[in-house]
Amino acid sequence: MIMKGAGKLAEVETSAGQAGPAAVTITHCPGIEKRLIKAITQDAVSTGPKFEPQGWGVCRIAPGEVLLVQDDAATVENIAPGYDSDSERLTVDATSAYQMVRVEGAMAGALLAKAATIDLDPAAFPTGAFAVCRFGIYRVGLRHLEEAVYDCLVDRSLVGDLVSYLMDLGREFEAREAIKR
Amino acid sequence: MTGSARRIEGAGLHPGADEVRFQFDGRAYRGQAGDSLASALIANNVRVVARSFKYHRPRGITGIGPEEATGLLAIERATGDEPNTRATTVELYEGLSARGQNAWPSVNFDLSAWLNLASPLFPVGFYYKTFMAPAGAWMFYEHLIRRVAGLGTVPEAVDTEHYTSTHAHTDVLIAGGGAAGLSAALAAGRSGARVILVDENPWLGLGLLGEDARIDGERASDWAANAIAALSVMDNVRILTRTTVAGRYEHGFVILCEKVREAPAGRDDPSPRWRLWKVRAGRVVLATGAIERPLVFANNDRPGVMTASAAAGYLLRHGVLPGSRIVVATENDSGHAAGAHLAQAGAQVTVLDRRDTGTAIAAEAGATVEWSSGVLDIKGARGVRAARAATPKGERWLDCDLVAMAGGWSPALHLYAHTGGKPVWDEARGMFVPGVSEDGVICVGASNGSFDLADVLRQGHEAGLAGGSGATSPAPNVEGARSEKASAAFANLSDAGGKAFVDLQGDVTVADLSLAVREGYRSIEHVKRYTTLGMGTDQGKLGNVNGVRAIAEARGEDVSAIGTTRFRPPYVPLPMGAVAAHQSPDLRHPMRRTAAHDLHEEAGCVWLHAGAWLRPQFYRQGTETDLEAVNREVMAVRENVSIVDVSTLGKIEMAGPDCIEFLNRIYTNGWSTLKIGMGRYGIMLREDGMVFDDGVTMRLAEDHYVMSTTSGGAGAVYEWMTRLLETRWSDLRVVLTPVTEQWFAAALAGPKARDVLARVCDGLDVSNEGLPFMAGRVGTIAGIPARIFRISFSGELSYEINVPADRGAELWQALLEAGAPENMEPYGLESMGVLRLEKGHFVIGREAEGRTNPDDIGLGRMVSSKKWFIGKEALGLPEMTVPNRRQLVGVVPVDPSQRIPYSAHLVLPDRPDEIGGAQGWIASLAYSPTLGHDIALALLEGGHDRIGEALIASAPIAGKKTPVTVVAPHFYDHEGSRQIG
Repeated sequence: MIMKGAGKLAEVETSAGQAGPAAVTITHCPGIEKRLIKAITQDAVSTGPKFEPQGWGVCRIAPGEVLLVQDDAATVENIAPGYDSDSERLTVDATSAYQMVRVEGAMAGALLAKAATIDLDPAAFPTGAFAVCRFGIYRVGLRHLEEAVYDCLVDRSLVGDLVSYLMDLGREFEAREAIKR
Repeated sequence: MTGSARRIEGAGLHPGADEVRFQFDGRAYRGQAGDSLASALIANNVRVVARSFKYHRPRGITGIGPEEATGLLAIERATGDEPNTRATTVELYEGLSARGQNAWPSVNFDLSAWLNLASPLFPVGFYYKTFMAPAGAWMFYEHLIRRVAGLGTVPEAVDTEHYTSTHAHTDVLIAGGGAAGLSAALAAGRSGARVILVDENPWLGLGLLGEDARIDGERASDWAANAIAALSVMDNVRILTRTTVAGRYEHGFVILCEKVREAPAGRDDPSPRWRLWKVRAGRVVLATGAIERPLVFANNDRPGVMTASAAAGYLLRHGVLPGSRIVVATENDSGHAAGAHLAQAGAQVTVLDRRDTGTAIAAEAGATVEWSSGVLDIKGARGVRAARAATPKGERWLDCDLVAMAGGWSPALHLYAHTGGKPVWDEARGMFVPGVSEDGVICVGASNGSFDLADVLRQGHEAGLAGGSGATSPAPNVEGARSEKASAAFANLSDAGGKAFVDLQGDVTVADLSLAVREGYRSIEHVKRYTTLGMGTDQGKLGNVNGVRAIAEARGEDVSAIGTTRFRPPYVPLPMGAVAAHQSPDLRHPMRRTAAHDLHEEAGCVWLHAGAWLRPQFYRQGTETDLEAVNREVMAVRENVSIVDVSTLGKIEMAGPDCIEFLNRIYTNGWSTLKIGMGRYGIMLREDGMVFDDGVTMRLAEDHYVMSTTSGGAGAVYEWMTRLLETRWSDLRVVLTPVTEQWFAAALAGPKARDVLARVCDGLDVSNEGLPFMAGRVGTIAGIPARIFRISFSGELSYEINVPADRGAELWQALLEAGAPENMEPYGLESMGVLRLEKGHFVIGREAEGRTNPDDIGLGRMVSSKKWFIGKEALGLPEMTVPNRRQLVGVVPVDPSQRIPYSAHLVLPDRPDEIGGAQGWIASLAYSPTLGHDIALALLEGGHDRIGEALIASAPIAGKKTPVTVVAPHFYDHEGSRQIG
């Protein structure tokens, strides 16, 4: 909403923000360029060495369950899938479980605010932040990559429907859909 | 008509604005930009806009905002008509078309007006006492009543408008953009807090229009304009106009409904019409103002009777003078202020004040003021022509065309009360005010019962700063504010003669409320429901307090003893589209797709919605019928080799030293002997001993397992196991994670499955010795890392191959290519159903339908007597072993050429039509191409002991009966030699 004070009382111009062609683009990226590891331990609070390797986005998604996101395809050697009996930690390569949808553009934040219940204010969700939240009925891992760029990690089986959902949300912003091969 | 009949040049917020053409009831009119539909109709001297709910009395405009009770019109739109729309809240746009409601043929001439003459026959609650005879005629009566009653007509066309919703978080949400709200927003905004300021009008600060006081040295309206300008440039402040706070819930959750667009969308306009906001606020400031009460006298519902604040408001906002000879009936100084504005605009104003003294502001503006006076009655059914005045000098008729009522103010406490806050009656001020507020919620200004401008601004300012930690600023300074003289004590409503309306929308009069009390309805909640007081779309905004007063008088008690009814969200009616927002049909049922979905589509499969998944039902070739396709696929599995996508099966990885103990507790059979590299089938029970889920668990390593579940049970089983580990067995060292999404799975099945697998197994020994039945291996298939499990649901030699889901399509293609020498084709879910049925494999939800224990489905041998497991105690209950339990059997037609009817029950041949004589029912049914006839699995009372018995499969609704024979529940390869060879 744009307000301008003039005369006796302020008039209000209604606008959808910086709408216009490609105010937001929703790109399905099937060839995910990330590595995701899910680590599960029995303890609600991890004991022992902190399992947050440098360079990975980390989100605790359940008691004792951590999802790690690496933004390139490089493999980090000390995170091998399998069960480690010393730490009693099960590590699963979750890369194939997710697909990525990138939402970018001037209205990306406004579009995601329609879907996500978490606070997307830059102070609460700065660039680099990663959270697992709900987009309607979808569970999404949301990363704030750059100022107007967000990556949404969603269950592989639901990515098609999520893209349709986001496109519907982006209708007022004339969202554009793309597929990145 | 030019629309200038009542427009005052140079007045209002938009003097000289562009002309806007619109229609009402088929006639063309002109208004101007910035008008509401109500102000435009008043400007065109349109007096009758609707007919009342019950008595079909002519009605005009009563208010100026969402409190409007009578001016309800239908707005005609290409995207779907909108009935029961308040004319006061519709912004005029070019081409708007509206029509009156509840009248035929028109609101000016309504054939149902006879109901008003017959109104003595229709007192409140009459429908509880009439239409009782003859008893069979009620449906006729109801048909008539429905046609006569009600207001608008529900549109039948699909609503094609665009709606949306969004979430927001804020530190402070301020409901109301008047003086208190602006003051709160300035204070909060300057302190650095995130602020959302909400107002239902297109403009903020409307309450300061016409205010003579000076704020911080400026005229009040100039102060408001500057405050708005300051707020609009604060990055931390979001201003939402045309937005109603519709509901307030616990923990700072607030629903807003924003009208983004009034006019229809243009050709390429993507904007939504409504936006629903779901806001989480740290603090909520309720600056919702107060609603002026009507006065209660005979015929106070006539067109041309409105609240005094509305009359002044149409002048100040829209430059429309709603009357030229105006009687202001008042009990307080507010009526005089309104009268003063109207007189200054050129109207001839007479103020009748029931008090004996008050402010001189109206008199100074040129109005005639009579004290100790009031209005008794109105003349003019289709528009006020005269008001009967009671004065110290006696009663007389005053010629007039408008009666403006100032009956006092009711703080708008609806949002306060939404979370259970209880309003408290303030006898001295004659209004309900907020009682105790929960933390984080505060009422300020008029909504808090305060009408002194300095106090209003101070309250708002303090509320804006409360609980914050940012910079503070001084409260606005006020000079020259008028102090309100005390209001009159209430008049006795019961003294009002004639039809004196309390609830204008529901046609509820003082007499109706008195009758209800006499009939024994004493509680305000009972009176409300019996009389419909406050039950209209206005939710009693104008009438509730007068209604409480009338009930108190009838009961001979104080108002405080009556209280109010419970206010519930929404504050105003919300469009259903705004609530539904993005739940379009396509998006309402999202479907999960496997990694090979596109390949199935290309292969021409017929899709099936299987729970949350889209799965191939079968793959039609050429002009095959459904049955021909399924039969072909089944025989391909039985005689050759085929492949099916089984990715939907639930998969849960499990690890830890206590996994064996955990498996022993949740499955009925034993797991202690399970070797690494082998799997075992198990069934899970509920606590009541009924079968819950089943599947195969593979042991991958010493402390690492992967469990399979049914497709539909994956989530429930994982949740259940997690709950057990977190609450009952937290001492067990077991960790779980669902991995259904991670893996794509294809089952290669048929006598030649091993030959095909050998071509792609990359060195893995897939011989019967190297990969025996129920074994699992980790290796590569077609160069893809894979887990291979030799398990079978079809009853044939079968291998389930699991690969990371992002390589699922690659695997599918590779397997099809490997099976090319055998002309291998895929098969679907329908064919899988026939195959498992031939083998007698039960399915959760069909044969195991929540009331069957392991013995019922023939798996009593899987119940271990050596260990404890969930459900064990229940299996020992007497009713678990009674002879007539429904048990799994097979059913075949006596004549193989006959079909067994769907949804059939099993009945005795000598009593096929006996009511209550069903012995059981068909659970699953299919034509078996392997055997050449129909086969079925059924649940039959005492079935295990009735093998060979002749019964009838009867489907009475379809009118079909087939003689059948009860057989053992496995029709093919009883020994299982084909799957273990």
